[in-house]
Amino acid sequence: MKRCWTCRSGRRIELTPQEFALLELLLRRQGEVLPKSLIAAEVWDMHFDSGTNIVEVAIRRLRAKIDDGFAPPLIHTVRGLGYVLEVPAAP
Amino acid sequence: MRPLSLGTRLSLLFAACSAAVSLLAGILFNQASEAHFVELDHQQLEGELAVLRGLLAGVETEADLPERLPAVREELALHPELALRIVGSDGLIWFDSLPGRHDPAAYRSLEAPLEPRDAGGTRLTLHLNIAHHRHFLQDMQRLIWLGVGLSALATALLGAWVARRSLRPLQRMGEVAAGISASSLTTRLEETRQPAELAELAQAFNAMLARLEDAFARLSAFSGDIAHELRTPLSNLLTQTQVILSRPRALEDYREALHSNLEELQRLAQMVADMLLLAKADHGLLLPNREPLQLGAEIDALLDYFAALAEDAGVRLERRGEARLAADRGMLRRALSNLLDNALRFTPAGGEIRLELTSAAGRLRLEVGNSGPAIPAEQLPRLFDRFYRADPARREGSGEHAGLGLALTRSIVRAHGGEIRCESSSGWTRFILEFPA
Repeated sequence: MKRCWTCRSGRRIELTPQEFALLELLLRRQGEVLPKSLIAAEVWDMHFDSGTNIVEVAIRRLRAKIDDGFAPPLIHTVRGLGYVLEVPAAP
Repeated sequence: MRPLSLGTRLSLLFAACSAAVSLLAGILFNQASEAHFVELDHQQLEGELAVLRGLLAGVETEADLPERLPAVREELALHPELALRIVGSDGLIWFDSLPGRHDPAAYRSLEAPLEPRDAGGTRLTLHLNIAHHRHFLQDMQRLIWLGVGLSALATALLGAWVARRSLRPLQRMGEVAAGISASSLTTRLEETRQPAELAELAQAFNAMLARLEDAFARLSAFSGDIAHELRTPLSNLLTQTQVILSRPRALEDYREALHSNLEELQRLAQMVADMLLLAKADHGLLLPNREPLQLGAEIDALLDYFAALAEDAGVRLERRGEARLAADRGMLRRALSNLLDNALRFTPAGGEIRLELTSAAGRLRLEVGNSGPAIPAEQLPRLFDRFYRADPARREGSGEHAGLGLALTRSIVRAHGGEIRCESSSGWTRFILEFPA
């Protein structure tokens, strides 16, 4: 089985293949707000609105691994629109 | 051309039948009487011949005749309907009580030798007037024609009456049918009061009314549900917007209100899109773009999609079996996703959802089963109705789906020529999809 992992601040983070695909999508399109339907289509090839909160659950899980215990948070929710991965501009 | 009315047809048929029967009877009777008269006449002629032979016995020449003639004339006077001609052995007419030409049809004749053994000698010819028999027969023929006419007329009237009478229930049926409108679909014909021939029609008529009533009730419920489902989010939007506009607010408040409105609008848009898809399916416009699919792989992809959600809910997902089907990938995923979503919502933590593929007898069967409380039997047929939610507490737009998921699934399955049904018993609920392979 394929092993997926990433690294933040020198710490290795194990990811499931789906989490990996989701993170890859967010990283490739950094700074762009990605709607839930687009995420479902790109990550799972599901081209319809399933009416479930599957994407929310997946984002929550990825956030727990990528953002919990790190600062600043990278994954942001844009209410009603979708999710975006961006590094906040330094104050 | 408009066909003849049933009443007219029956009347004509009745009249023709009775006319034919009475005419036949008349002809037979007429012939029998005629034969009887012929026989009577012959008996009379034979009797008279014997008497006259006795009176004329021994006459050999014309000269012998005059002394016998008075007795002969006396005998003929007793029978005015009789006439006699005597032709001698020389071929001359010796005596004729009816000289001159006469209508041969008015007489029946008998010609015989005077001596039965002497065929070449004197010959007697007897004429019997049968005018009164002919009159009788003519009168009888007139009576027969009259009888034929009268019986035809009588049975025609009877036929018309019978037809009117027996068609009256049909007329009543027509009146009932004419009076039925959308608001009186509960009307039914009384099946027991119909004659046997019409009972079946009444039954079919009532069954049609029942189907119409059911379809109409569903349609009414559907319209009511649409109004209801749209009203809640719309009134939410209205209230929120009115509240936010009632006085000046911070920029953040406006943004929050717009976000909230956006979510509500997205839900509405999704619902309308689903309803449009269903309407399309209703009109047979949902055309699957079929491609050969490995259903096992398709299901695994879906299970992968639902994996995180199922894990959160503490539900185990499993797939068994493998099959191939030519289907529209997008539609099939959507249909199965609705079933999985539905199963997940009703499976308690620690439960299990199992998808099983089997094919037998040229049919492909896909079962989506989940553990959990059984669905009451009376709800099963309604599960696929639009906006129907088995759990009344789920009403009021709480879920992301407006209760259209299973209706959509069924439309997709049907667009693929398949059927879907639900079975539920002691702790296990399963949706069974069957496709022609």
